[in-house]
Amino acid sequence: MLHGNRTYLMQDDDGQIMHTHSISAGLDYPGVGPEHAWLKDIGRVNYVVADDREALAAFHTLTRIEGIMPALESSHALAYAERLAATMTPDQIIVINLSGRGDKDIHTVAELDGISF
Amino acid sequence: MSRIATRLRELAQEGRKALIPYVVAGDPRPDVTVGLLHALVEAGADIVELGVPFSDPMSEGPVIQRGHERALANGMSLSRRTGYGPGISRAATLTTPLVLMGYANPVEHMGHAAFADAAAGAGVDGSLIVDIPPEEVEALGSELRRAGMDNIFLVAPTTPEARVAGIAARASGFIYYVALKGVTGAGNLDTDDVASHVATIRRHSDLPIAVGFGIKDAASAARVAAIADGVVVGSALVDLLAQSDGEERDIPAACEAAAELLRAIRRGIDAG
Repeated sequence: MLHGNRTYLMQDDDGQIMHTHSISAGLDYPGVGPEHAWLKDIGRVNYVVADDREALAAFHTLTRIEGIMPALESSHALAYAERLAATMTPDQIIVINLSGRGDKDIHTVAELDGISF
Repeated sequence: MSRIATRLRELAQEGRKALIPYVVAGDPRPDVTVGLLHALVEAGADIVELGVPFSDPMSEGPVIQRGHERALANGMSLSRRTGYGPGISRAATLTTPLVLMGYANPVEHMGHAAFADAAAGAGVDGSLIVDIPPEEVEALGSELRRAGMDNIFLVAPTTPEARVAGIAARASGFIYYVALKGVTGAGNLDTDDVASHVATIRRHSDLPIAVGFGIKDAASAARVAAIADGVVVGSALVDLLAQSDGEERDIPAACEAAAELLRAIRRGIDAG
């Protein structure tokens, strides 16, 4: 239970909250919204993981191929979509909620890629 | 009747006010805590409040936050393994009532029943969990009652009166009124404002009322003691303990400085 939410948290064996890191500021938090905790518990949503490296690669892929710069948060979903698509047939459809725009993240991406403006 | 209620009733009969110091378990060092509690009792404490270190102590100001950080760095935490073993259970030799003040997550993680059993077994008399709202407290509250522990709540200057009534219905031991809008150790204590809120709480509860947050010296303690049944002093003590800064040689001096401040506050309250 943290900040008024009873939810899944990154914590140690004593219930102390752990330090976090993510390239996307919006994901740099040791918990998830309690709605997600509930959706997971009732089996309605299957949650998966993408790491910093995969998300950054997906950011570049969508930017290069579609000319759409996704937020680093959304880039995690794109990264998983690439893995999932490889298991599907061409007539199946994936919907991704591109929840944010990536121009806010260009300084983060530039720094990670060693680009200076 | 709990030891907390008994002590507060005795004080009321003597016309005296309760002095309640707060320190963090394991700060400045775990092996110092029990001796420090005894020193605070000798300096005039009527009830001792022991902070349970938490990684995210959101109601604390910077002074007590750093106390929690030092305690965690020292390996103190709420668990059967590190918390109650060598540290807190020896404090049970105190005859002064002991209150644990902490945050919900370590308690939830340990389990309400296990927490209540471990705390009561270690001689703890009451529990104040800052971030469990009264609407959600019953799961823990029933275990505390079973273990014979008091369930102490904070009331803030912004708490609406209807909510004060809800808190009063669930509270035992005493009610802790937060003297100002902010975190522990903040400034600007407004005595008239405190008096008006204390009067509001008294309309809903016969429990003694202790006031804390922003009481740093004998003068501010005496002003608040004239209004309430008890005074809680935390940041001013933890700040003195921080002067030791982990340096071996400075710790006894820091503990003595904390005890000296408490003695001065005791004199200020009793003179008032």
